[in-house]
Amino acid sequence: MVDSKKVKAIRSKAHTNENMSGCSQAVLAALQEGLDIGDVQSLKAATAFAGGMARRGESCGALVGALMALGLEKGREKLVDLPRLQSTIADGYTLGNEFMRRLEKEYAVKKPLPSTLCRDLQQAIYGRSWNLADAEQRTDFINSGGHGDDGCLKVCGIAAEVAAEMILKKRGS
Amino acid sequence: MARFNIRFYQVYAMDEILIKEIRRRAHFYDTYSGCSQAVLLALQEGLAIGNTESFSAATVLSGGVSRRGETCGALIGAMMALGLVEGRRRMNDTSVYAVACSEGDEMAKEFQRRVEKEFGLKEPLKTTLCWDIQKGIYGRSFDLRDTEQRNNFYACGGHGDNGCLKVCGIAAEVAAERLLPKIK
Repeated sequence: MVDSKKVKAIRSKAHTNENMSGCSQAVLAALQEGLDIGDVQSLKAATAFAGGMARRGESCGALVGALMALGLEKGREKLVDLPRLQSTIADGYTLGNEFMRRLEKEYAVKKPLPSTLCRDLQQAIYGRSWNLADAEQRTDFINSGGHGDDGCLKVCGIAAEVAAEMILKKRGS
Repeated sequence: MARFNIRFYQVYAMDEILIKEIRRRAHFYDTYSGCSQAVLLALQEGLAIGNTESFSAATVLSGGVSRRGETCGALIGAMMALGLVEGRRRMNDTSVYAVACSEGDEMAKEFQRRVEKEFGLKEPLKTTLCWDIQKGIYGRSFDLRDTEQRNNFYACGGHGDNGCLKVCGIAAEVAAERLLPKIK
């Protein structure tokens, strides 16, 4: 059993952090703080991943922030450490799958998600996607609730929760 | 004036050498697998940025984010270097975040163009997703989570000098060109 109180606090923090925009950093900052991992350098490195990699609609920034926390916890510190790379990538894949399942459940989406691309998550939640690099479309996304408690803030909370559970479970706490 | 010009060209030549060395290292480092870390390490060493923490954080982002075929891990490594140079230290510094996102998008577009050019792609890349880059280069994509398909990818040269290693070199070069002037 993991410390559910701690997991809940991390989820809540990621959700709140996302009010300041930048899903990848919102998730990573909550995990770094809650699990005592990483530093300001790792946080800075996650700056440009929001909105599916610099608002490109590609890989979900919240998931990437969660995966960076996994890397901080048990990632490869030296290039030659191939066993560490292999085992951590397998965990990363599991984390991504669990994130997808949790999104499908919490948003009660009608069809299974085809990927963890930002644009696919938007499609499943809102029935359409927006080009977040375009200021007008970004405003429309925000006006449609994209940045509300049931939008990206919730997605950030889910990503942080899944990562926190996995990391704490591995720690045995 | 003449002295100024000589100095200018000396600096320019040194920058060119450094950028080429960063590209060479990223290419070589990917022989150890893990495109995101290969690119990031070359940039961290070449530009004297980041640390072991930032390097570790990039571990599971290769193969299009844990081999999911999504955003190219080499590009992600390059964008992490961008964050290290001019990223947000505190969540409430939203203006820094907005600028980094715009620059990240520009970097991704340049990476996309350079991949199209260096690989002589017949059609422009639609995205910077790993599976789209694979389609552009090999005419098909591989599910890198599947051992058999991953071995097939290697057999097609996916991890050779004209595969991911070259993509890593391009990502590192594009990032180095854009970031070097910012750290001076």
